[in-house]
Formats: sequence, C-alpha cells, structure tokens
Amino acid sequence: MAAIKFEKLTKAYDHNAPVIQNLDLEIEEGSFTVLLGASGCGKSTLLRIVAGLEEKTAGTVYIGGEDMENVEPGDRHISMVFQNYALYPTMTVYDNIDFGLKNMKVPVDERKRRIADVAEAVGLSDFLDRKPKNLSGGQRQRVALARAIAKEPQLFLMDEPLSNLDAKLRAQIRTDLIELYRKLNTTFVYVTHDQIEALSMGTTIILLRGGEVQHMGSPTEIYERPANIYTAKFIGSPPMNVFDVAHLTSAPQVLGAKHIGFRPEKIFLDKSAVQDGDLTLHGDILARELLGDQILYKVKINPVTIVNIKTFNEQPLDYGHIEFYIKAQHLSFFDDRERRIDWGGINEI
Amino acid sequence: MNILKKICKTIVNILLVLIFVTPFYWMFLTAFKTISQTIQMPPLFYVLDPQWSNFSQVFEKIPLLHMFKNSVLISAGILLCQAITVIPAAYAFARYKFAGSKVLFGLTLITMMIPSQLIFLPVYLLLSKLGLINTYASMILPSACSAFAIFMLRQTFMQIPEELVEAARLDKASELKIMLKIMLPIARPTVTTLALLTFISSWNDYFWPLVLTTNDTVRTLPLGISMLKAVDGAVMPYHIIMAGNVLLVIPIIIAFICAQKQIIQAFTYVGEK
Repeated sequence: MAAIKFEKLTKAYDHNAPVIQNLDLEIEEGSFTVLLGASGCGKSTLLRIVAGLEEKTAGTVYIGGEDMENVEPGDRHISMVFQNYALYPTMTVYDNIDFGLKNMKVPVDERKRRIADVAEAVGLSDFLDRKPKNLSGGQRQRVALARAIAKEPQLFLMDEPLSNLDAKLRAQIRTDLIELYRKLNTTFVYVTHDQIEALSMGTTIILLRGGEVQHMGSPTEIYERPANIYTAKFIGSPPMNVFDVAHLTSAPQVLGAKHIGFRPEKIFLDKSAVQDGDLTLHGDILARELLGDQILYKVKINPVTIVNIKTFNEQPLDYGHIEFYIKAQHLSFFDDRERRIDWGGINEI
Repeated sequence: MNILKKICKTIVNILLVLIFVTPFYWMFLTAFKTISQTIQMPPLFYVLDPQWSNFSQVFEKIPLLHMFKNSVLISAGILLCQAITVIPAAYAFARYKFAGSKVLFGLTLITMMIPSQLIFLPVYLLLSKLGLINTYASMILPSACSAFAIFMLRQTFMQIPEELVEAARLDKASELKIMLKIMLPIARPTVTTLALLTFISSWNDYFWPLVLTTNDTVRTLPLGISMLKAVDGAVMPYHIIMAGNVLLVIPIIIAFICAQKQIIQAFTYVGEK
C-alpha cells in the first residue's frame, strides 16, 4: 500500500500561477523517499501539504489509504523535523519531547519510558534539563529528531534538516539518519536540494522541477539512467556532459538521438583499455583542479563544446592536447524533446 | 584618548542619574521636613530630625488604607481585564489573516489617537446610565483594553518563527494551548513590560478617577494625595503632600525592581534560532 498518494494535486498561492498542477504521485510504504529539486520546485510545498500545514488548492491527499481532507496536522500520525529545528525555546529538552506526547494523551509512565529511550538513542540523556539555547547546533538537531521519534509516527517528514549544520556534522548525521531509518522501519519523506544527501540516504528519489516529476527511481537508476537531460545535469558533480550529437563525428548511431551524454567519471584516459565501439574524443585542457583523491579537467573538444573529466588516483596530466575515451555502455542518448532513449547500452555492463 | 572618553562617559552617566534621581530625593527629603523647613531659603539638602509624624498626618487627613485598597483592586482589575482582552487580540492580529483583519487593526490603532478629554463625557454618561458611577466597574471598564498593548504584543508575536506554531500544531496542540504554552512564554519580557506600564499608569491615574467618582467609595490614592492640598493655614503643606507621594510610589518602585530584568530583555530580545 502506498504510504502517501497524491491524486490530481494542485497548489497555487493566492492568485499566482500554480506551483504544482495535477500531480499524481505515490510514495511507497517503508521507503526513504527524497524529494529533490532546486529551490522553488515545489518540494517543500508538497511536504507541507502532506503535513497539513499548507492548504491544497485541488486534488486529494491520502496517507495510509485515508483521505486527509479536514484531518488536522496533529491527527495525521506524522512527525516533522524542520530546517531550523523549531524547538520550543522556553522549554527544556525533556519538555520539548514531552509536549507532543502529553497532547496525544500518552500515559505518564509510557511518556517517561519513551523519552528516556529516545534520549538514550540520540545521545541526549545528559542534556534533558537544558534549554535549546544552551545546546550546540548538532545537539539541537538531535532534540528535533528525538521529538519526532518519540511520537512513534507512521510517517517521518524532514524539511532540509541538515542545511544548518557544518559539513562534518552533516556527514555524521546523514549516516545516523540511515541507521535510524533501518531501525525504525517507517516511511521517511525527506526534502533537500542537496544531491549527495539524496543519493546517500534515499531508497527512492523524486526529482521535481516546476512542480512536475522529472524522474522517480532508485539512486542507482537516477544516476545511471536519467530520464531526461534535466535529471542528467542535476545529478552528479560535475554534472553529466550533454551536447548535441551533431557536434560529434564518431558517435554510435542511435535512432532519433539529438543529444549525447556521459558522466565525467566514466571517462578514461588509458588507451590500452579501449575496445571496439568505444567513443574516442580529444581536445585541449582549459583548466585542471587537483582535489586530492580526484582530478577534474575542463577540456574543449571543439569551439562550442566543453567536456568535464573526473579521474581518480592518477598522475595529473600536463596542460595541452589530450585524447580520452568512453565505453559505449556508458553513453546516454536523448531525443529532440530531451527525453532518454533506451538503446540498451547500459545493459551490457 | 581612551581615558578621556571614559571620563566623559562617566560624567554624562552621573549627570543622567542625577537628573532622574534628584526629584525622588527631593520628594523623600521633603516628606521628612517640618513645614518651616519646606519653605526655607536657601533650601536644606538634608534633615537631621526626620519628621515621621508627617506620615501619620497623612493617615489622619485622608482614608489612606481604604484608598490604597481601591488602588490595588482597580489596578489589578485593569491588569486582569487587559490580559483577557489584549493577549488573544494580539495573537489573532499576528497570526490570522481574516476578512477585515487589516481594517480592524487600523481601527484599533486609531483609538490611540483619541484624547481621553474628548471621550470622558460620553463615557461618564454611559456609565451613569448603567448606574455604575462610584463602583469598581466604572473605574476598570474604561481601561479594560489597550490598543497600545495590542500593538506591542502583536509585534512580538509576529517575530516568533512560524515553524514553532507549525511544530506545535503537529504536536496536536490546540490554538489556545499554542497561545498560552508556546507563544506567551516566549513573549514574557514584553508582557511583563506592558503589565508594568499598565500598572504604573492605572496606579497613578488622576483624570479618570476624578471624573468618574462623586464620593470616596472607590476613590484611589492620587485623588487622596490631591486632597492633602487642602490648606489649613497660609502655607501649602508640602511636607505632608510629599509624605503621601512617598506612600504612593513605594508599590511602583517595588514592582519595577521585580520586573527590571524582564524589561531589559524586552528591549533586547532578538529571538532564538
């Protein structure tokens, strides 16, 4: 059964053009679904509609098969973690967690047990008497998580919960969240604009643009078989190299192909590994970035086309003219409407 | 340079303190003088034989305890009424967009511009037709709501991040609970300041009690103090008036000391992330 289902969902703010129009979407029970997209794509709006914090303009929202029309946010059995944590500043950590449980009329003993358990789980046992202002950013994040977990919801909603943390803490809490998801076995819906977060944590990624789904699939699929050029260019750093097939003379002939694409990290420089059917390109290095374990090159292969190359653990190349190669199965093709053409290339892996 | 700056700063600070403290000092001083000392030239800046009897004279001349009780009851009544009217109004103006909310808020603000001298007659007529003259109700009702307090509290509520309300809604809290348990504690510095300002103005109010009373039943302390002016001889009894004033301001000073910390917070509060 779908944990969340949208039917012909439309949302417009005041009298502006709708941010989401006639959206049909199902989020699978027990999945860690990531709503990914650039700012303004409607991902947060979608999450807030699920939470009941935002009124939809038209359409139906189901949670656990139940129509959410006129169901108050507090009655939807969901927990939400906000970007700025939204901890109650005048309450202690204990009261922050307890507030929701009290309102849900959980018996006193049960409340005490749950708070003790959850504080233990997120490592807050020694901080229960503190107020949020006396906690570090990472600790506040943990309180927000603890508050969400203690309610034992059927659905976790997270709205960019890591964006206020520094890079190191973010990486740490990311793995914590994966652990948490595996332990709780509940549906997670996670909003982010960060593709690393999406790829690392999600079991399903939904890439949104202008309120429309661009691609919905597993992280592997969305990375290897992007449904269209937008997805191909959104995922990956640097993004997939995509350009007009007409600018190449040696590309494999694929019916209807207008654009060709390949990932920077799939390019190799070792000529001896080249096989029949592989694409060979050459050009001048415009820029070289040494990033420790990897090296990025910006190469101009013809007056209008620049290719990004990413190599790992190799000797840096000197500036000048280079030749590079891509395996046939790593090529993607897109038609004149920028949609993927399945040509069987990747199946050969 | 730095030392010079510090010295200037200290001098200005001392001057400021003097400006504010001197009237109080003069009041306390005069309250302990004899009548001849009050009119002595050049004036005395200290007294060696404090006249405690000035205070007992205050008690003799006016029903001080009765008026003190009136002042307490009326000020407390006004505070209570304002808490009931102002907090929900400010919360609604801050959080809800309803039809006419802007117009209503504008009307609320406009009431601040109407001078009380303009409305005391209609208010008097209204209360007298209701048969409320010389009752506590007549003293409390005209101040039962405050546009200024609504405005101030609304600003504070608006500064509180929307996510807190949303988090509380997801925590299954009712609107009343959100207002009382989440918003009000955060707005506490503002509420305390408003309460103190309201208390001071209702405690010191002279005009409304003067207009709305015809006998001593519900008269308050400021009216009593002005009664002390009734002259026995040729000289105004300043020493007794000042003794009355000392008794009048003591509760205010106590209230101020209690609320001091909160008031400073109210003017420095910047919200919490």
